[in-house]
Order: sequence, then structure tokens, then C-alpha cells
Amino acid sequence: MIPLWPSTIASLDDSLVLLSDSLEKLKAAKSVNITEVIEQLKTAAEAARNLRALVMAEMPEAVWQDRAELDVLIAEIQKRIEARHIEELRGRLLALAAELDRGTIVHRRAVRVTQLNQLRDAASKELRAQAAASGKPQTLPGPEPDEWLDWACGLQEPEDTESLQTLRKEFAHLDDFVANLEPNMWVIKKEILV
Amino acid sequence: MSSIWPSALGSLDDALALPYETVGKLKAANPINIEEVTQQLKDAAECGNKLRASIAAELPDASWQNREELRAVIAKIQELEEARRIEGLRSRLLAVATELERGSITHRRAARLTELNQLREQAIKELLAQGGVEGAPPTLPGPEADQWIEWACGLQEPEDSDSLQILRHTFPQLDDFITNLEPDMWKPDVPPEAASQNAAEAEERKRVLEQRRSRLLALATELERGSVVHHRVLRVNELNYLRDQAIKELRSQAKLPSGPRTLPGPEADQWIEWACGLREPQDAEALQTLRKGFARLDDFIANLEPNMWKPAGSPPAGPPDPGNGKPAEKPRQEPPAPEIKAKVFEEPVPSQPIPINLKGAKPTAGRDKPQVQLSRDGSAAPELAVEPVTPPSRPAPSRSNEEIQRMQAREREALARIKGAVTEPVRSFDHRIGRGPSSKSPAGAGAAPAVAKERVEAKATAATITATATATAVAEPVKAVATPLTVARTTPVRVMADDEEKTPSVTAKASSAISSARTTLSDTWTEFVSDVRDGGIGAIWQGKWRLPVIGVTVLVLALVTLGVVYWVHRARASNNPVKAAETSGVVASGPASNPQPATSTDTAAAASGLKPSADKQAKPKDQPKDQNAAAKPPDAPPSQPVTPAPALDASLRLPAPVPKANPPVGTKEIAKDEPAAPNGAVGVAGTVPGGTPGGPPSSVINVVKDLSAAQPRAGTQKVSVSSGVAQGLLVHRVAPQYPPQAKSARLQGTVVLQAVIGKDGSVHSVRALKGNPVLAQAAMDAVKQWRYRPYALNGEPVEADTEISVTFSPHD
Repeated sequence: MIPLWPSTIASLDDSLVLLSDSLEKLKAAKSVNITEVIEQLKTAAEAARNLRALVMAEMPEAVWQDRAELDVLIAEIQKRIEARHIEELRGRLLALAAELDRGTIVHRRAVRVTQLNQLRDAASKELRAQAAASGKPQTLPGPEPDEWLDWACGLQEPEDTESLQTLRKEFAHLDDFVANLEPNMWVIKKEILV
Repeated sequence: MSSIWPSALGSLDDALALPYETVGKLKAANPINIEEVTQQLKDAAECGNKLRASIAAELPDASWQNREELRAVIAKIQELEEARRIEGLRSRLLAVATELERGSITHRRAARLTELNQLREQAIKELLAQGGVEGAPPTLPGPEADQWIEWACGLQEPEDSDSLQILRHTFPQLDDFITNLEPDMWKPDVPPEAASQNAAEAEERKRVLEQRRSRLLALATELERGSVVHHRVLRVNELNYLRDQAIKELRSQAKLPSGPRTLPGPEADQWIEWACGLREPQDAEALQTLRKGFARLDDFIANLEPNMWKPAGSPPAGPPDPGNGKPAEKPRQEPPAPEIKAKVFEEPVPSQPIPINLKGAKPTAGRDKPQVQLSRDGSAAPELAVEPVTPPSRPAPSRSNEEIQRMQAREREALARIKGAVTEPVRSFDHRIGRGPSSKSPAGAGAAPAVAKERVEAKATAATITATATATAVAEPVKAVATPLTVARTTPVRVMADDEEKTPSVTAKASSAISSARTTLSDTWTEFVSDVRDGGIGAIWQGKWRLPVIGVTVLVLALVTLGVVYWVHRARASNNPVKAAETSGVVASGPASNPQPATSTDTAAAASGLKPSADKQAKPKDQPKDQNAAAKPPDAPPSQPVTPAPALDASLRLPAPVPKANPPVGTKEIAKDEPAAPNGAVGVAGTVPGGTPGGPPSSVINVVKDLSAAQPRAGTQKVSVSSGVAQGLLVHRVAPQYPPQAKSARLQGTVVLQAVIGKDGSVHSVRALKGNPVLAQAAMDAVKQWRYRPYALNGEPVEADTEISVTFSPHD
């Protein structure tokens, strides 16, 4: 979920709590600082305006009357956002698999090239399998696919332990391939053509 | 339930409706009109404040946290209000019952009266019963109890059907009584205790006022009955005038409808003695009261000395006047009040005709003193050309009546002498030169005062008598003027103002006398020249011109002798530096170069004060004319020491400072008691007549020495400077610390300190003159740390005494 939503909603709710407390004091004819109450009102109005803007950004055609309808809308928007997020993860795995397929391994020893190609194939299969799985796929750490191998070959312990841990745990074949691959062994076919 | 609480709560809820609605909208992130909601919030807060104030008024110690507790508090207040309302109803019923009980019914028929009283009793019982029931008693319509019966008797149908219905159904016995009662039958009664209390208070007030009134009248009578005694008639008249004003004031005060003011002091018979003994500041309060409430009386008392007042019944003020045997003062008979004005100037006076013309006297400012013609025996008093100037003066307290009488006689004699001296010289002279009184004097010349006549006869022995008489004629009025004027210096200013207005008139009369004498002298000279022309020089040694010529010759010789003596004195003085300086009014040391404390005028005055003794010692009959011989010390005793000029005066007249390289010779030598210089060129002892070499310094030297000693020395002097000057010298100021206890107690004010600023500018000693002690200590602590530029006198720093004000204010 996008962090902006909960913070905006929480801001609105918090300011409304303070305002409601002040109104309760007024209702009980208790002494209140009216300037402070007006500030609370302004803060709440500002939070409401922000939340409305977020809703309208996701669903420009959305219409609601009360908080219940707003909550329904927000739930719908959250679903949309979640689906979009899964699709993005999936597309990223497939894009990296395609990137692995596209490159070439260069080494002075043929046995080693064969061995690395086998590892590459296994990683590619793993990525496609992950993308094809139902539900939410695993989140692949690192940058976009075209820069991913460079980034992954540069990971080193202990600085990048977290990313390496995720990689090792969720994408074992990909991690195996990246661990055997040296940066100078990977050549993109496009470059060879050039 | 009282209507205030629901309406107050309703208003609050109404004001809060929109904010609550707004919260719902905001919760749904819906847009709102924020200005409108803000206004509603303010309204709600205002309603809350009012409601809170109402609750605090009913239950000051009430507290609550939420709306439910607020409702509980309001319910409690409503219960209290209800209880109070019930109590009010009950007390109203009881009050009407009491009112019925206290009043009385009048009627011409006893049976009817009895009947009405029975009805009243039943009504009272009914009211008491209704008032004693549990719960809320029925509401009795109508006004408060003290007006209720009158109101009820005025009820009529159909206008007051509602009230009558309620009365008939709820209070049938009361209604029955009221129906039978006519308004004029009912006599409401005043509470006996209140009535008696009011009557007692009124009686007491009346008694006090009457007492004050009678006290004022008694004093007025006392003032009227007594008499004023003074050796000057004018003063007696003035005091009598003041007395009458005071009497009038007292009587008018006594007539005030609002009651007279309280006169301080004892009873009337001792009052004047008491009042004359009042003095400030001991009796400031009584004097203030007197001054504010009885201004005229105060004026009289201020002018009256104790020995000037003779109360009624005391013996006559003095022995009978030798002129006609009448007493100088006779006790006043108590006159009736309306005659005061006519008796103002009827105070007994010496019966001898004393022509006192006050025509020129103007009323004193602030008073309505009338212009009066004081001629006691009417036409018998001859008109005087000169108005006697006899300003009011306070007699010495110890003067006896005889002394006063003598003074009065002397005064009368002086007045007569003035007249005689002015009118008689010509006639006396004519008589002496042989014309005789019958030749030129009128037959009635004896009408001139005998005293003046004798005086002129005794003096008119030569032609110069004219000048003598003229001088006497001038001198006597001037003396007559001068004496009272000298006395008048001690009298109040307003009295002097009167006298000064009279003085020019006297001077004019004196001028007239001089002019008359001059004419006489001119006539005499013409006659003398004619005789010489007719009889020759030898004729002047014979006959009437012999004595005048001898007199003139003696006079001329005397003048010549005096001139020679003066010339010799001057010549000697010019050869003597000290003497020369003395003569010219300058001390030997020289005024320009000597920082003498006194000015040259002062020194000359001091020197001139020495001259008589110096002349006596330096000019014996056998004194050699040699100038050097004058320097020899004679055996005469040293001259009188001269009192040096006061140091304060000297400090005020400081000349320019003297350069140290050239100190004043005379001052230096004398100060060191060195022997006199042989040549006598400087102002030392040997050069001064009467000085003794090696002995005590002469008077002049004393003057120089003393004046030198009196000279202020800047290095040791402490001067007083004003706070403004000191403020200008302040270079470092430490702010006083406001004492915490003073601040918490909100103590504030100004502290005045007296401080001595040392030569180094530091504050040497400080003491508080005025102000709160707590603040004063803080101020002194601060001022002790202040630094000033040293105050310089003649370029040298001196200690300066000044006052410093430090103000403490909690707002600072």
C-alpha cells in the first residue's frame, strides 16, 4: 500500500479526535481555548482536503457522502493499487529472465562457459516460474533488469548482506548464477553485434 | 423549573450543532465552510461562558467534567431555586400575615370593628396555615406585603378578575376580609422599635445641632461683650472690625438650616483664651477646622493677642485718660445682634479729640472694611493736614495698661506736634523778630496746640530758627511715619499695604512745610538786605540782626573746621597704603588678586567700621603733623576687633582664584604673624594707626586675617549640590535590586537618599531621608556603587552633598 494513504487518513482522524474533544468540552460548557479549537478545525479541514485529493487522483469519478462510503472507496482503491503492484513485480521478473537470455558468457575455458550457461538457464527458469506463480510473487531486490546483473555482480559481503540474503533465500538459482559470474564474463549480444 | 437553564443549554447546543455536523463532514473528507464553522464555535464558546457564569453564581463551588455532570449540576441548582421560590412564597404569606397583625382597623361602629377584626384573624390564620404546608404553598398574587392590603382593597371586577379568582379560590378567608375592608379603615402600623429608634436618632441629632448652635451664639455673645485693648486706636478699630465680622459669621452659621459646623475648643467663656493659645504645628488640626469652617473668626483670633482681650466683667482696661478723665477702654455692653454694624467703630477711645482721618485708607483685600471717618467728637476735632499713619502693630505681650496709656499719650503728642511744627514756624519767627504775636498772628493763635507753641518758642532764638523749624517740621512727620513703619515690618503684609498707601500723603505734607519755610527764609533775607542797605554793615551788630549773624558766623566756622579736619585726614590716608586702601574701600592686599571671601563693599564696610577708633587713636590733640610720626604706635588701646564676614556669605562672593605663584602679600604676612615691614609699604601692623609692632594686629589686619580665614578652601569644603546637578555628574549607575518581598507585596514608591559624593566621585555616605525602609535599603545598596565625576570648585574637587531619588515600580 502506498504510505501516503494511511498517513493522510491518520492525520485526518487525529485532528478530528482533538476537535471532537474540544466540542465535547464546549457541549459541557467547559472552558476551552477557542483559538486552539479553530486551529484544530483548520488542521482537520486540511487533512480532509488532502485525503479527498488522493481519492480523486485514483478515482476521479468517485462520489461519496459519508465516511462509510469513503471507506468503501478507499478499499476499492487499495485493491486496485495492490493488483497493480503484483503485476509490476511479475513483469520485473520476466524482464530479468529475458535479460539473462539475451546475454552471452565469455570465458577462456569451454567447460566453465558451459557450466555458467547451465546456471543461467536454471536462473531464467526460476524467474519465469516465480512470475507465473499465483498470488503475489517474490520481490526481486535491486534495480531495473537492464542494470540488474551489473548491480548483482557488485554485491559483496558484508555491505550488501540484506540483499544477498533475500536473493539467496527467494531466488536460489539466480543467486548461484550471479555468484559464479564475474562481471567481465557477461556480454550482451547487442554489444557483440555492434 | 427556571427558564434560564433550558434556554442556556439550548443555545449552547444550537451553537454546537454546526461544528458537530462539520466534524462528520470532515471525517468523510468532505469540504466545509470554515468561516461559518469558526463563527459557530465562537458562539458556542460564548454560550458556554454564560452558562458557566450562571452556574457559578448559583453554586460557586460546582464542578463538572462532561455534559452529564453538567446536567446534574443544573438539576441541583434548579432544586435550590425551587426551594428558594417556595421559601419566598412562604415568607410572603407570613409577611402579609404579619402586616395584617400589625395594622389596625378603624370604624365608627364597634360591632363592625369586631367583625372585621375577626375576619382579619381568620385571614391571618389562613395565611399562616398556607405558609406552613408541606411543599410549595399557593402563590399569593399582588405586590409586596407592605403594599398588599392597599393593592387588594383596590381590586375590582372585571379588571382584576384573574387576581380575584386566585384569591377567592386559594385564600378565601383573606378574600373575605379584603372584601369587607375599605381602604380608609386600615391603618398600617410602623414597627415600634424602628419608630422609637428613628425618633431617638432625630432627637439626638436635633440636640447636637441645637448644642452647636447655642455654642456658636454663646461665643458670639462672648465676643460682643468683651472688648479689645490696644495702645493704638487704629489697631483697636481694626480688631473690632474683625471681631464684628467673626460675630456675624458665628450667627450666620448658627442659622444654617442644615446645622452649624462644629466649633472646636472649649466653652464660650474660655474659648478666646484657648484660641489665642493655639499654635502650629501642635494645634494644626484645630486651626485647620477653624480656618475652614470659621474663616472670619480665625482671622480675628489670628490678629488678637491674649492680653488684648478683656472679657466682659473684667475691670476697665486702663486708668482714665488725663485729658478728660474717661477710661481708655470701657467694657462693651451686650448689644442686640442687628446693631452690630452700627457699633463697629464705637469702641471707647480716649476722649481727647484725636483727629484720625482714614479717608485715604482702602479696604483690605478680601474684606469689606468700610471707609470710616474717625472723629470722635465730631466738629470739635480740628482737621489735620497730615493723616496719621498708625499701622496696626502687635503690642509686646508684657506691656502694662499704664505703658499703653503712655504710648497713646505720646502718640497724641506727636500728632499735635506735627500740626504745630507745620503751622507755627512762621508765626513764631515773627514773634521773635519783634513783630509780636499780635502784629501778624491772628488773635486766635492760641488755638494752636500748646505743645507745639512751646517747642517753637524754645527754639526760635535767631534767624536760623526758620531753618530749624523747617527741619523740625519735616523731621517730625517723617519720624512719625518712620516709627510706625518700623513697627509695621513685623505686622502682616496686608497691614503694611495700607500704611504704605498713606506714606506718600505724609511726604507731600512735609514738602508743603518745607516750601512754607523756604518762603519765610526768603522774606527774612529780603528784610535783612534792606536793613543793611539802610543802616550799613554796622547796623547788623545792632538790633534784631545781631544774634542771627552770630549764629551764622559760628555755623560757617564750624563747617570750615570740619572741612580742614577732613582734608588732613585724607592727606594722611593717601600717604599710607593701608589707610589709602581703607579709605578707598579696598583692603591692603588688594581685591583683584586676593580671593577674599567678602567683596570690596564688605571690606570697605568693615574698614569703615574701624575708622572711628583709628581716628581717635591717630589724631590726639598733640598729634604731630609729620606723616612718619603717624606711623608710630600710640599708646592707645587696640581697636575693636571686626566681626569677619560669615563664611556662607564669603562663599557666595568668591572672586576669581588667585595664581599660587603670586599670593597676596598682606594676607600671607599677616597669616604667618611675621613682624611688620619697616617701611610700612605693605599692610602690616606698624603702618596702621593703632597697630602695635610685634603685638596684636590692628583692626585692619584683623579684617584681612579674619577674612582670609573665612575664605573657603576648595580642598576641604563640602558643598551642597542639587539632585539635578548630581544627576549630570553621574557616570556609573547600578540599578537597584527590587527586593523580592517588596515586589511580591507590590510595594512601590520613591526613596529619597542623602549622599555625599567624595572627591574621587565615589559615594561616601548614604542615608535614607524618605521612603519605605525595605526599598530604602535596596536603594542605598545600589547608590553606594554609583560613581560620579568629582564636583569641582575653583578647579579643585570637593565633596558634594546631594539628594538622590530612587523610584521603585513593579512595572519596571
